[in-house]
Amino acid sequence: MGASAQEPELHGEPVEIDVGAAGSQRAPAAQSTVVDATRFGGEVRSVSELLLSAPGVTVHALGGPGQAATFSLRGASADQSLVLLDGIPLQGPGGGAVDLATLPASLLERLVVSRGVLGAQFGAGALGGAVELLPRTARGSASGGAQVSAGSFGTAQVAADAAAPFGSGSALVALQLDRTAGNFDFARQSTPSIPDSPYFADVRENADALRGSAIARVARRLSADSELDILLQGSAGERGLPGPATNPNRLRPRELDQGGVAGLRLRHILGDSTLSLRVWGRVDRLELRGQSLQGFGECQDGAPDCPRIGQRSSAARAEVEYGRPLPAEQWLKASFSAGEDFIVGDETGLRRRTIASAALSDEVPLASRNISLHPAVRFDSVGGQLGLSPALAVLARPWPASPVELRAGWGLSFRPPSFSELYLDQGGISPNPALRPERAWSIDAGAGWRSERLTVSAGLFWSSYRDLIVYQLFPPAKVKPFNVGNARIAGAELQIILTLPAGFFAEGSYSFLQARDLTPGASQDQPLAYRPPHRLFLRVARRGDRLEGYAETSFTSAMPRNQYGSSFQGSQFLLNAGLGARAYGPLWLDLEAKNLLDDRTLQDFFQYPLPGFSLAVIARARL
Amino acid sequence: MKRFATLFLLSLACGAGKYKAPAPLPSIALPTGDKLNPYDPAKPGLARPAGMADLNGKAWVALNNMDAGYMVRGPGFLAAVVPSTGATALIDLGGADERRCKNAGFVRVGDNKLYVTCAGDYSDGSGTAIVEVDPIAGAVTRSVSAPISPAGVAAAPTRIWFGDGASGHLYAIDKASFAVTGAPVPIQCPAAGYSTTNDVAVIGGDLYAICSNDQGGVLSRLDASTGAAKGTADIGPIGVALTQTGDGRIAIVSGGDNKLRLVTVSGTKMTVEVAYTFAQATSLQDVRARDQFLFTVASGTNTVEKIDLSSGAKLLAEVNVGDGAGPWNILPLDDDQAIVSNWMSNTLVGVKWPH
Repeated sequence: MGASAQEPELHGEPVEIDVGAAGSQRAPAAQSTVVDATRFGGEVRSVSELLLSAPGVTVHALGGPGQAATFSLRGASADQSLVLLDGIPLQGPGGGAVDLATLPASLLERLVVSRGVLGAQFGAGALGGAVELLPRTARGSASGGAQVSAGSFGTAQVAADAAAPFGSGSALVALQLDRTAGNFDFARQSTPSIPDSPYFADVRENADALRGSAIARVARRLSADSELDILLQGSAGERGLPGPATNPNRLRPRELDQGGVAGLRLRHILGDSTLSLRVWGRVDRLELRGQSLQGFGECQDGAPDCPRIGQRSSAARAEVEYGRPLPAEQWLKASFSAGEDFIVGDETGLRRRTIASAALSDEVPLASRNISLHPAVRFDSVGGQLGLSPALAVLARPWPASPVELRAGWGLSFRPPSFSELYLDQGGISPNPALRPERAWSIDAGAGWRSERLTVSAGLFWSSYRDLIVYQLFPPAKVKPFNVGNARIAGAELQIILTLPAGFFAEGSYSFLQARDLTPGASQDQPLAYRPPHRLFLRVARRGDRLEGYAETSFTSAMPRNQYGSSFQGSQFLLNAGLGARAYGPLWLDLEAKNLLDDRTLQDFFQYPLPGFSLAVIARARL
Repeated sequence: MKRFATLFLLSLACGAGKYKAPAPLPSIALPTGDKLNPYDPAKPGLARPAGMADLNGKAWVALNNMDAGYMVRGPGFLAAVVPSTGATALIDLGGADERRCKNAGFVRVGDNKLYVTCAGDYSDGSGTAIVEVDPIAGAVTRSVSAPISPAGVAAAPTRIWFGDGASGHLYAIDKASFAVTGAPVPIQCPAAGYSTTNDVAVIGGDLYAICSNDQGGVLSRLDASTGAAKGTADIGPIGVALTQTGDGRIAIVSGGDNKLRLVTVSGTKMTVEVAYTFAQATSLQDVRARDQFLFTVASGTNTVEKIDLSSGAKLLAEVNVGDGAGPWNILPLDDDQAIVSNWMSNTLVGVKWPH
C-alpha cells in the first residue's frame, strides 16, 4: 500500500487561510488561519510550535520542552485569548491563561486561529481572539497510526491513534505520552551590563517533565436527522519547576496537574432548521510541591511548614443552538448556554459563579451573494458581571468566482476577572474582589487572494483596551490586581502559501505589532513589554511517496522587557530542519534538528533559557 | 618638609594615598539556629541580611530573621561585622518579649548612633518599630513602636525621620524623648496608584524622601526640623534608594526603569538628569557613594556595579554575587572593595572591583 493512499491528508493544502467553512464555524468572517496539524507528521511539534506558523501569535514559553507555555494574539495578554477544544472553552487552573504544554498536539487535527475582539462569536474573554483545537475525527473505515520519537535532553514521545466504524458511526481513540529530562545546555552572562561580557556554559536543572494525554470520540447517527457526538479528553502530567536562570530553584519544587473534558452533543435537523444540544464538563487539578506560601521562594517539600498547595477548578455547561434560514438567503443562529464555574483551593477557598449567555448571529448575503454581512451579538453574565459583545463583519468578492476576497470586522467585548484575580490569597499575592471586567474593541480589514497554487492574506488591525487588570505592589509587601491599565495595539499580518512543483510547498507569515501603553504615568506611550514588533516565519516543505523534509526559520525581533522602554530582550533567530524517508511499507523514518545554529543564549520571559541544538529521531506508520 | 608635602600631594593625586581597607572575606558567616532566638526552636529562621551601614570600622547589618519561605521566625537583629575577619557580634532588637522588632530592614547612622527600621511581620502587622543602637555598647538604647511599616530612616539634628512603606508619609521621632511626634507629614507622590516612601536621607542639612510607584516617583526636599516642604522633583518609577555623591549631588536608583538619576540642588531648585541606564541589569535595589564612585545593586541580575562619576557616568565594573543571591545592599569599604548583603541566598559576601 503506498504512502499516498495511507496519508491522504498530507497531500492536501498544507495551510488554509480561512474562507468560510474551512475556518472557524463560530466566526466565519474573522481574520483567521487554519493550521493543519496532520501535515507535521514526522516532526515533533508542541501546540505552541504549531501556533507559531500563524500570523498574530506570540508564544511565551517558560523554558524548554514540557515547561509552561502561553500565547497571545495580536498583542493581547494570555488571559485575553480563549482556547476551545472542540468548542469547549479551556482555562488555566485559576481561570486564566491555558498552559499549552498540557495540550497534546498529536491528538489534534486542526487548529483554527481567529484574531480580533471576538466576544460576540466566542464569548467573554476573547479580546485578542481564540484558538479552536479540533481533535482527530474518525473517517469511517478502520485506520490507525503511531509515531515514536526520541531525542536530545532525554526527550521522547509515543503517540498512537485508532479509529473504527462503530454502529452507524465511528469511534476514535488516541494517546500521547511525553517525557523529557529537560537538562539542556545553555549559555549566559554573569555580568550582562559589561559590553561583550563573556558567556559561560550552564545546564538546566529540575526541568524534567512527564505527561500522558488521551482522547476518545464517538459519533453515531441516531436517525436520518440526528447525530450524537461524544468527546472525552484527559491529561495528567508532572514537571520540575526550574526557575529563572539567575534564580534557579534549589529545592526542586514540582508541579502536578490533571485535567479532563467530557462533552456530549446532539444535532438534529428540523426541516430547514438545525438544532444542537450540548452538555459538557471540565475538571482541572493543580498541585504545587515545594513552593513557599509567600508566593515567592521555595521550601522543602515534605517539611511541616511547607504544605503542598492544591487547587481544583471545574465547569459545567448546557448549551442549545438553533439555526434557521430567513428570507433573502439569510442564516440566523441563536444560542443560549448556562452553567457554573467552580474553584476550590487552599488559597482561594470554595468559589463558584453562575455563567449564562445568549447569542444571536446572522449571515446576510447582499448583491447577488458577492457581499455578506455577519452581524452578531452576545450577552454574557459571569458571576453577576454583565457584558454585551456586539460585532459586525463584512465579506466581499468583486465577482462570484473571484480569487480576491475583502473582509472587514469590528468587535467590542469584555473579559471578566479570573478566579485567581478575584480570590487568590497566597502569601505575597492579594485578591481583589472589586475588580471590574477588562474591555476592548477592535477594527480590522484585510484582503485575500486564493488560487490553485497561491494563497495570500493580508490585513491591518487597530484595537483599544481599557480597565486592564494589572498586578501592582500592594504595600508594604504584596501584589494585588487593579483595573489600571489602558493600551492601544495596532498591527499588520501577512500570510502567503505557495504550492510548488514536485511536492514542495512554501509558506510564510509576518506579523507587525505596535503596542502602546496608555496608562497615565511613566509608562505612558511606551511599548508594552514582551510584544515583539516583528515576527517572521518561513517554511519550505516537501511531502512525497518516498521522501519528505522541511526547513523553517523564525525570527522574533527585539522586544522591551519592561514598560518603560529602558530594557530590551534581544532578537531571536531559529532554524529548524527535518528529513525523512519511507523505509518499509507504511513505516517512515525521520530525523529532525531544531535550533541548527545552536544558539544557546536564547531566553524567554523572566530570563528563562531555551534549548540550543537538539536532534530527534522519529518513526511513524499509518494504516 | 615642603618637599615631603609636595610628594604627599602628588601621591594623593596619583591615587596612591586613597584609603585601602583590609580585604573583606569572600564570604562572611551569618548566625544560624538558636543564635537567632527563634520563637519556636523547631523552626529557626535564617539571618536574611538586608540593610547595612558603616560605623567605627564595622559593617552594621540588619537581619530579617525569616525562614526559607520568608516567614518571620524570630526578632530582628543587628549584626556588627568586621569584614576582614568575619568577626560578628549580634544585637537582639526584639526587646524583652522578643517581639518589639521584627523584620529589621534599614540601618542608618546619626550622631554616632545607629537607627534601624523594623518593617514588622507582614502577615499580621506586628513588630513595627524604630530602634536606636549604641555601637560602642553594642546594645539597644531606645526604641519606639512605629504606627506603620517603616521604610527608610534618617537622623537629623533634632528628629529621626522614617518613611511609611505603604503610603507617602514621613513620621518624626523626637530625638530627646524618642517618641513619635506630631502628625505624619504627607509628601508628594505620583498622581495615581499606590504609594510607598522607599527611602529618606538627610543631605546638606535638608531632609530628602522618595515617594514612588510603578508609574512615577517624586523626590521631596523638606526642612529637617519641621518637615516643611521645600521642593520636589520627578525621579522616575520605583525609586528605591538615594545617597549623596562625592561632589554633593544626590544619586537615586529606580528599580522600575533601571535608571540612575543625579539630582543637582541649587538654591531652591532641583535639576534631575538621567545619568545612566542599565539596559541589562534589572531591579536596582541600592546605591552608595564613595569619592567619585557610585556602587549599585541589581537584585534581578544578582549583580553589583561600580560607576565613575568623574566624567559623566561610566560603568567601570560589574560583579555577579551568585545565582539566587537577591542582593539587597552594598557597603563600599574603599574605592575597590565592598561587602554585599544577599537577602535571598542568606549570605554576606566581599567583592573586589578590578582596577
